[in-house]
Amino acid sequence: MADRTVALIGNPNTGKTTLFNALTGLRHHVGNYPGVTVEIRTGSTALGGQRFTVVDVPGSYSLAPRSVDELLAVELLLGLRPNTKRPDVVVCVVDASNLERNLYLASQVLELGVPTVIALNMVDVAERRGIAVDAKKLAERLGVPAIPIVARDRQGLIQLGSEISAAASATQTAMRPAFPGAINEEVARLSSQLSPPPPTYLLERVLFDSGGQIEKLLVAKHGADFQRHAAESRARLQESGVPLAGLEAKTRYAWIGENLNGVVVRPETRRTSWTDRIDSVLLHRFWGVIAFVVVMSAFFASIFFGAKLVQEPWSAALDSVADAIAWPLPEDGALRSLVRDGALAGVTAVLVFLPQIAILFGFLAVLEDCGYMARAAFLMDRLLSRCGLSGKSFIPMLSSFACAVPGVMATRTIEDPRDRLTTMLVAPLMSCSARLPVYVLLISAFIPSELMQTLTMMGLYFIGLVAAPMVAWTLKRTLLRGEPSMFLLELPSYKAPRLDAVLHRMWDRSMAFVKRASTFILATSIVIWALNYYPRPPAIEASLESLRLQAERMKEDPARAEDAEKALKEFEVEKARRYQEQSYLARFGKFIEPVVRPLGWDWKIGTAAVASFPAREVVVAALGAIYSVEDVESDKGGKQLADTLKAQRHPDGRPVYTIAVAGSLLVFFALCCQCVSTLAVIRRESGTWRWPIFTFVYMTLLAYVGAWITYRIILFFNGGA
Amino acid sequence: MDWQNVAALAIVAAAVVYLLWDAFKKRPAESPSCGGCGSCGKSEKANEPTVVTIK
Repeated sequence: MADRTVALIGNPNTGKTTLFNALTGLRHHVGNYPGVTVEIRTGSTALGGQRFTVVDVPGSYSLAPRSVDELLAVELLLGLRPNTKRPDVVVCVVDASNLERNLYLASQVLELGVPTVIALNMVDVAERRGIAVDAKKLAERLGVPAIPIVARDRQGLIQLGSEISAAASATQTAMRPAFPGAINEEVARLSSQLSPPPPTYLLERVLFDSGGQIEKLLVAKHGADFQRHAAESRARLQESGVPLAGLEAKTRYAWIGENLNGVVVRPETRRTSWTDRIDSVLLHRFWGVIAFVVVMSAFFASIFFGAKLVQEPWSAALDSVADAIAWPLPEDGALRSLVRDGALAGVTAVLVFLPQIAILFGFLAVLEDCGYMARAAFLMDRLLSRCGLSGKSFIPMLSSFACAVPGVMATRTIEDPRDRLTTMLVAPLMSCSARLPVYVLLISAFIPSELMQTLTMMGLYFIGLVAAPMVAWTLKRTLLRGEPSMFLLELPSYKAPRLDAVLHRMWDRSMAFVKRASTFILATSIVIWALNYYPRPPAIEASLESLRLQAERMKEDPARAEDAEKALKEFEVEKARRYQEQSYLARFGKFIEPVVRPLGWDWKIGTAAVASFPAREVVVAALGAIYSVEDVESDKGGKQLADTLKAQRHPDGRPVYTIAVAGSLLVFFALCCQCVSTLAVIRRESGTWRWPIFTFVYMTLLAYVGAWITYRIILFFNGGA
Repeated sequence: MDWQNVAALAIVAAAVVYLLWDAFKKRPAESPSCGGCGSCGKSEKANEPTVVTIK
């Protein structure tokens, strides 16, 4: 027998994904702020002896879709999505401490005619607030089971599972709000004009939401005539004294009020909760901003100084592994160079930053889990509204601190298409985790004091935070002109972050980082090595033959052993330099050098930057591979790249990497869009190549200009050094 | 050409093939559990909702 399907639906941040994870044993990302889930996720489980496919639907306040993620929920529940059957059971997850508002969505779900179970989640939070809910009475009133649960602690899940299983094969007589008879008549009239007739609920929605997503959907399917029929129906209702404006909300809330009478008992006076007390500081006009800066400073400082505790042993472990891998290889030759200077140098140069990546995701997980993310969005609303966006855009931007791909996907919660697109185009300006290795490498190598290192790191993150509103402001006044939409955000209660969730996020992301280093980064390092190693014209070695012979002759004289050693080293260095100078990579690098020279870069930096356009963290691997090939002194791929960079000199003896060069590189990487995955997801979400191309071009130009200005400013203050 | 060069070039060819495959592979209709970039091999969801249309 085929699996039955149960869909989990509910308001944002009511714990649907937590319940989904608890039912399926999967570990999808959860966060204590609205809008974490923006896509349909499925898993499977056994409930009451039956197999069920569990579907996690993006959170929605109502089934009157305004944004694309809300439309997704309606289409799914009505079985309108291609290759997706209508669910056998809907579990409406409601926040037990806020039933009045949560039952609005439930009242719409009950109209769909799909067997429904109400999951009264977070009853523990309700209890702590002194709110008592009589689940049995509520079930009697609504005509469907209502089960108290605490999904986070897996409480009540067995009973919920058996009710889901029973509901899948039983017939329900769910109660529903009663609208005036004239509405039903118009729905029937519209239905008779269409073939095949769409579900009654959709036609009801067309009457209530003029010009809404459902009307657009039906017009696209049944033609423009449908729009005219709908307008006529609405006009008739208006004429017959049925005012559509506010009718639905009034009717539903009246119905909810009746049904909750005697079901929910609240304390006479509202208690001041811990959340209220904390919010009085964190949302304060002045102290809130100070707290935000403190939280962010702690974030950056933890990346630097937290990682230091494990950096040394981790680096030593990587060196040992690299040595062990290189040990059985021949002493000299292409294969040894490929493994040592290409694969190992590239991969270890990136992997060495694993502790920082783990800390970054740990900190983000704590911020998400405790509920601070929503407060940060609230604080940013004032700034963003001046740029034509709302605080709603800040949630995708915050997600982009981890990775721009989920950040771009999180824009689905934004109703206004212009606001959504603007947010999508500026989200990649946020400093993602892939930028972290570049930042840490250059900051630790060239910024002297620990305080300055933390401030520089903060500055790089703030570059994105400042550039994004500025670009949004420009876009909203030119290409994507429009009024900012209203920002409504539910602030969740603060919760203590769960250690297992935080550790799991750290583990998950660290493993993704290791996997990327051992696949994509490894392959890229090998290709860069090949371009840097070949061709190998025999003429070069022949031209240096006299140098080698001279060294060999010295070796024969025991008194000149030291000189012989030196001469041999000089021969090796010169040989490596000459080979590299005529390599394919050098030819390309020298070709583009005039473009990168104004930024203070030489051809090697320029080549590494160009190689990192598919994925920015490649720059670290590329620099590792480029310098390792010419480094004849170290026999280890795991030599600290920061020390190698510091030792680089121009032919005239000037250092290649000055603080001005490091500054321009950092700003370039902070602003440039070097991520194919991000461009691909913008293409998918915007439906055209125009916007990813636009993003790539504007970010590259911005990065170039920003890097040039930084270079000139540092040169000016540093006396030209 | 010595055996080391032959082996090295074979590895480079394999790396190029891998990068091309990675760039053009069909993404599985499965979401990364972390909500991340899909670099772990699990791509973002394929059943995305209707795209944005700006007229």
